[in-house]
Amino acid sequence: MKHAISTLCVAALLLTGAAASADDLGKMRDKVEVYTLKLADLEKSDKEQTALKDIKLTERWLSEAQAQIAKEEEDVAKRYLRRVEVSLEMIALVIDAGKSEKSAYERESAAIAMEKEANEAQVLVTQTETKEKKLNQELGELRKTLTVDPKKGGSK
Amino acid sequence: MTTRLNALLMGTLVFAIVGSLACAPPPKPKEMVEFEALRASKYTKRIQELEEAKKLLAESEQFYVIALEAYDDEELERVEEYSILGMMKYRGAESIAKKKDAKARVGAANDKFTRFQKIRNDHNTRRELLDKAVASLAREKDLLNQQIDRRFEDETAAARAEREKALASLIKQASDEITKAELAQKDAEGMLAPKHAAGPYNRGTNNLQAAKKFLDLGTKESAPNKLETAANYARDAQRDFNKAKEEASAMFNKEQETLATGKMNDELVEDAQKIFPGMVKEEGRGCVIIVDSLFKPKKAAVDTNRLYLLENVLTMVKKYPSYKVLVEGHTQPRGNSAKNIALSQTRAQVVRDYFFERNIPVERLLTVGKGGDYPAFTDRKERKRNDRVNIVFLFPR
Repeated sequence: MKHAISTLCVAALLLTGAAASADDLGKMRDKVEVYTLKLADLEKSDKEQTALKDIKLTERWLSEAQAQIAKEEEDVAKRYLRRVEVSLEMIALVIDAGKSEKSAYERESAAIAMEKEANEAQVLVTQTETKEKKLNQELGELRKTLTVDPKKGGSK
Repeated sequence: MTTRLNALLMGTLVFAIVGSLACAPPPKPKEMVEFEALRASKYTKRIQELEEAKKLLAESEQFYVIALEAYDDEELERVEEYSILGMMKYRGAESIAKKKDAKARVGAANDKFTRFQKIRNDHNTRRELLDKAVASLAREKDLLNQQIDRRFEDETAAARAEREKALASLIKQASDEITKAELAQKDAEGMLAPKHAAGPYNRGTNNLQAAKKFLDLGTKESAPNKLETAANYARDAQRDFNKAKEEASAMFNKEQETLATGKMNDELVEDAQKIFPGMVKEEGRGCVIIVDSLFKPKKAAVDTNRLYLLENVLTMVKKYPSYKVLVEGHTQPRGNSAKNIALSQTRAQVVRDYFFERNIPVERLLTVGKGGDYPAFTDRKERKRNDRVNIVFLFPR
């Protein structure tokens, strides 16, 4: 009798364990799906391909996780899924930072271009001022020429 | 003994080496090395300053601690795993910092953009104003230049008119001088200058031709200097023609006189022949009128019956006052020659006196006694006719 109870207990434990393991694997499969979608979204949003290398690595990890789930290597699969989870968080931040950096670069380029335009505008102002000064001098000379009596001398 | 001791020492050394090798920590996995390199980067300090990144940085730290513990426990798989996780957390924190910095850069860039945009706009505004001013000045310059051009054109037209006037004056001057030279040439030709003063006349002709040539060139080319040269040549031509005229005039007058005299000689001879038919001879020295039988033989007084002949001669002497008159006394060709000469001389003087008394200037009258050696009548019957005079109207030389 005692032996029978023990055997039942062991069987119950085994059944419970098997049920729990099947549940975990299912959850992991769900995670794989969620992470896959999330990764696809990130990849789509990464137009500048700032995190391309990380995305590819994460895809590989996801694939590995799926493989391990298929082999029911729960621990290994868990390890890969944790990597993927952390990686997805990181990739989102990297893409975000990349966008900000791109924006910063664009704004800085625009500012540099504007500085250049301002400098060019200043050069044009200086040139035009010089032209104005020269014209004023020429006009002075012409006016002087016109005031000279042609019969007494003075020429063009 | 020594050998044993050495062997013991060697054994101990080998044991120690093998032991130490067996107890040495394993090499760090490359993930951990990379992780530590990241943590050591200068950006870590910046991440630490940011509140938003602190959580991730703390998680990264926790993973690093676990990785270190695993390393100490030589659980290299765990070291690798937690290093990867720690690195990702670190990079997440780093991205937060980068984003923040990028935002700051955007702000600074925007400020810079705005600042330079304002500067540019100010410059553009200033330039637009300057452009307008320059355009206005350029217009004014054009107007002034046009005024000056007009004045210059006016001055040019006036100068041109003045030049043309001067040119016309020079043409007229040269033409006048040429006309004068042509007149002088005609004058000179009137004096037969080509014959009597060929040198100056030819020089004048050459100068006149040169003057005409330069007048033509000067007119065609509107060249004042050529017109002046033409006038100068014409003046030279005038001078040459005048000189030629002057030089030729003496010869010409003389020639004219000669011609006139010859004519008069002919007239005189003709008259004489009318009055003394058959008694007139024209000789080189002059017109000889033989007044025969004027004297009675051996007498010097004029035969009154023949006096009318002297009157006729006197008429001719008076008619031709420019002739000198030679009175040649003659006798018959017989008797004493000396007496004849003396008688003939007297006879010539009697006739001369006759004329002188009738207002013929004595300097016109010449006398010579020829005796009887030049009889005009050789026939014996006419011998007495040789008591005569020959009146010779001497031709001018």
